[in-house]
Amino acid sequence: MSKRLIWQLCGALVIIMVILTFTPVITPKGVAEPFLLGMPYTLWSGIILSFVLLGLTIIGSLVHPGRDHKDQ
Amino acid sequence: MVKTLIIVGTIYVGILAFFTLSTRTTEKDSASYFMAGSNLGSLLGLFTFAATLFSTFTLLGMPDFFRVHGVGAWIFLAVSDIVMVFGLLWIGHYLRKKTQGHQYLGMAGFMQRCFQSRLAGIVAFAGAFIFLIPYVAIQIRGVSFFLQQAFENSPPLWVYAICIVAIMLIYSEIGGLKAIIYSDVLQGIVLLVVIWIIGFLCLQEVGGIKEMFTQISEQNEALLSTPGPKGLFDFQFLFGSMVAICMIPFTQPQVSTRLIIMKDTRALFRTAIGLGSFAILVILPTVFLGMYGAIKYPDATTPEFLGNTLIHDQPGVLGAFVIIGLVAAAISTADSQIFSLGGETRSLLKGEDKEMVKIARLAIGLFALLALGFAILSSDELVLLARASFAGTSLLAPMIFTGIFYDNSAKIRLLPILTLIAIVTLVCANLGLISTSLGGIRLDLILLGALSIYAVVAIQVDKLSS
Repeated sequence: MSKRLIWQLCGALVIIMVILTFTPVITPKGVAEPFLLGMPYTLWSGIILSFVLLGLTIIGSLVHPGRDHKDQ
Repeated sequence: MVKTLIIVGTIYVGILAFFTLSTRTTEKDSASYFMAGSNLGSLLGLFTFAATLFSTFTLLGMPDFFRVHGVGAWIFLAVSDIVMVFGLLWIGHYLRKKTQGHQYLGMAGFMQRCFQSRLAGIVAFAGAFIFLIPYVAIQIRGVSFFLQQAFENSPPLWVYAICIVAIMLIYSEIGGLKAIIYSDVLQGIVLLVVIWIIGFLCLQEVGGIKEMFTQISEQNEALLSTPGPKGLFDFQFLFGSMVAICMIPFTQPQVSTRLIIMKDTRALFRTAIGLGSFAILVILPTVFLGMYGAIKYPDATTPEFLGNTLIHDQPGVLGAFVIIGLVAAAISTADSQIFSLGGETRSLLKGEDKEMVKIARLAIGLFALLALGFAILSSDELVLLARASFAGTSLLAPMIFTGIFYDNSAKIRLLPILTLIAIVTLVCANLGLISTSLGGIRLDLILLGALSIYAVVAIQVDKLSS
């Protein structure tokens, strides 16, 4: 798989994650359950989402088409 | 606590003085004074980005936001910040590429060049000016108000505000952006350490994470989900906030300048990853502070809650560090914003460089005075005022992105004018002269959407016609 394709895939996944953020998958109205480690659903799923997005950013930074661009 | 405060405060001011004097140059040209030599490594980059972005609004505003509106505040800021960091990789690279080969001194000058129109530069400057001055002011006011509440027989708020502005002006005027960047490292570390210690202590006090949320569910269950007890975190608020926050690196000059002055693209990418990690690290303890407040001080006013949670409930020594941490957080954001407005002014000026730098430095003093005046008069709604600032500057995004991505942006002449109209409209809405929503949709979203659609359509039409 080429670096450019992985970069595009990262971008697409970030967009999907953003869309999910505003759906009941991450922010169900008035729903606190299920709890994980004592935390309500929106908080722990939001924290996991943040780490997934950060992971995608790390991968994206390694395969970004402009990574080896020489600044003048 | 007062004795500790004096010792810690003296050390803090001493370190600031050291940074200022060691970065001081007698020859002040635009490249060194406003752009710090444009050779910023990833570690310095991380701390200066972090200290500039995470401010009083994070340390004071976010705990209160969690306390009043619940866990949706995580989506509002943390998730939005990480998406912003990804955007930094994506668009930041193009912005840097576009500015290469030309002297970049500010977004206003860059827009003037892209659109070959002075109006475009003035609109970029006006947008930053109108929405950043209130933002700077709330940083100063937030901390001043907090300090006033923290001490018995305290001097009035304006005394604290003047002291903060004076410290900020002295080191930024003498040392320029380099002094600000070095002091950001100190301020970023202080902010992170202080917020974690208090967060940890608050968490211990309420018996750990599980016990904390069990108590909350018994007291006010609506805090455990969106949209929260007051219904703030609905789709429009969260989506609008995310869009506005994602635009910050390009629409707020204090951040875009840092993006440009990074040593190379790899350094920028490393900084972006560090910034994402920093965002999670700095926002997580504010959840504990907020939930602690929701259990202990559910009906207290914001100053009562913050004064008790951050100072009175903490050991005396820690209270002193909190105060220094708060002052550091306010100064690190406010100085960068005021200084960047000076840079924007410089980017619009034409003439002999040293003379123009002098004029821009005078402008920095003027902006600081305006912010001071506003700080003394403004309201205490820290987070909501900050969000209004993000939303306001985000209206510049369609124009700025057109400048970055479209080589013939000079042909899209109407865009700067429409951007100006949108800014004026949003200011009128914020002043209560017109409605803040239309057909149930937030006005900032409508304006941003309309400008974006116009920019896309105008570019396509221009491409077809040429």
